Amino acid sequence: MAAVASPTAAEGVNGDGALVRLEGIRRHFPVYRGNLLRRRTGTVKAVDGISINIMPGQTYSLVGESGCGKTTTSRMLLMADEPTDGSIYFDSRPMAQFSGAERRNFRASVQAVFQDPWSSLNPRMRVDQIISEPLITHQRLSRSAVRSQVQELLQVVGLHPFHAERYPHEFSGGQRQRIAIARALSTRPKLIVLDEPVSALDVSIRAQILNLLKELQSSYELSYLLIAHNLATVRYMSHTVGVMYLGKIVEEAPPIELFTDPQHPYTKALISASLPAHPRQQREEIVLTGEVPSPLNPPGGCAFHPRCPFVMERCSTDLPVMREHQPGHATACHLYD
Amino acid sequence: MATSDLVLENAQPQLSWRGRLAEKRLPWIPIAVLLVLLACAAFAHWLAPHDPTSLNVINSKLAPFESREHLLGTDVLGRDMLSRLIYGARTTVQISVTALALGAVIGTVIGLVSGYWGSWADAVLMRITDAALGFPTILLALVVVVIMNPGPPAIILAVLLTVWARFARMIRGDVLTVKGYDFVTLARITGVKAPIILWRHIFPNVANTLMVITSLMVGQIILLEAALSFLGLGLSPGAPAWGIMVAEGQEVILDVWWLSLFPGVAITVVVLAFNFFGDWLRDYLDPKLRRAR
Repeated sequence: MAAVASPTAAEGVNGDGALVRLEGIRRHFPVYRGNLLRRRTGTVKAVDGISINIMPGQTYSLVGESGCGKTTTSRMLLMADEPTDGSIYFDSRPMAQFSGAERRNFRASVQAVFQDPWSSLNPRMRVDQIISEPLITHQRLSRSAVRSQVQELLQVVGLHPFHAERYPHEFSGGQRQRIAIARALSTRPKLIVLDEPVSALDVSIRAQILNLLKELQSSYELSYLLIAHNLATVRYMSHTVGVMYLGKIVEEAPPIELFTDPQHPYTKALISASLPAHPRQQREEIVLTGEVPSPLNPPGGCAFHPRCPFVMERCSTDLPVMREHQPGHATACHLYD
Repeated sequence: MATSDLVLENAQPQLSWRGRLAEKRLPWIPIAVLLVLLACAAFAHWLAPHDPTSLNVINSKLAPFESREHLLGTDVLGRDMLSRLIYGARTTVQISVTALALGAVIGTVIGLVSGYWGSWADAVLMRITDAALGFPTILLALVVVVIMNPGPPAIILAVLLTVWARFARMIRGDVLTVKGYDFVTLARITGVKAPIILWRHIFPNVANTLMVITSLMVGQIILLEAALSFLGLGLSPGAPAWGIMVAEGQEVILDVWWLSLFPGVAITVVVLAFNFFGDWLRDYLDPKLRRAR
């Protein structure tokens, strides 16, 4: 097990004023074989040393292929899972040391919207019950206060007050996602984790939901942790983008920087794999060969080296460290050392 | 604000109580059958024309409608069939329904706990369930009867001991599925306490399964009660219970066919009524099916 101390920490970026600070987060899942006599046969390093800052009122996006650890990272931030190593700070307080009251407060100030709006709304509950669930959990409110809050939230997300008495199956995908957003907003959170919030939706609905999320961000000073693999979504929504590969962040930059001047070969490949906005646009083409290595047995040195078109000798032995080459743009690649 | 995906129509119009009742589409026939069953159980001593256990050997083996005194005839010992059927309803309700209700509650709670908490609680509870499912019912009943005395409480306990495990196993499987849905994760992230998650999120989504198993089990339990009584492990022979009556009648079925036929029909009708009622209840509890009509 290569236990290198948080190699992806962006140098020069301090966590001052950050709402959420992840410091060298790791999440390793033990793998067992056998049923009765279980033997530990390995470790999946789903997340392997991630450090990011989420600023108040801003969107931090994580992009990367499936299985690179984006969702695992968000689960730890949502306290649905615990990091194997490293610490998460919320409002400069380490989450591992939360008191009971702090924990409850955290649960109210961090909410989530998930990908599949068919699975994220309980089919047996009415819309008003779904939306008011976080409210009722965290505040003692009268029935009429809850009612008026639900009505207000429905209007905020672009639905009608009379929708409160309906059941989820009576709505379309876009409407369901609006209900999920209303639910997430109900406790006036500071951070909402958006795990692929539009990838299950019709293309025509996506822009509506993204615009709604942007509006809400500016009117409620919300921070978002956006997980996506659609680069257009990321470009439109984010203030900072982190590119993940096999549990590590390989490049971090503001979206304009990242899309005009990608530095890490993996980022370049990712961008060249997405469809250009104009068919005649000339671009540098990088087509990757091979597959993502198993996180059960990741390659040594830079995890990307077996697929990298610019691979050098030292890539297979030395682990590249995140370095800031331009202000706010950090890369973990030996090409820029 | 784009409103193209909004449905612009108003909420359901208010209906009168009769309208609302009609909209529920209550299954009247099964409800009537079950009401008759309950009435017979509660008021057997007023409804029955005769004492169900008094012997009258002179009038034995009277065919149905042969005598005005005994509308459904009499059995080998001259006991009035109609009275025995009515008292049998009482036995059925007492034993089968009690055992089933208790089994459903206990099994559901164990299934919910086991499926939701997982890990060692699940392992322990499911091994106990395996043991209960693997144990021969009759043998279990024998043990119970040896410890207690034969009689309704002993049968209820014996039936209960086998029934709860089926509920627990099925419910647990469903809980595992429902637990994986995002709305459960979201509730947990929001900080909703586990008992509330179980009650508001998990239970309503496994209630379907509960209905189905319950309506399927009614028949089995009535027959199980009959089998136990037939073996002399439950009610004393001659007691007015449908299962016993079918069992007693089968020895002489070619001669006095009505002895088995009437209680058999009663069991069938009651089981069917439970099934149809369970079907309706399942649909009624599902918001998707309730409003789609």
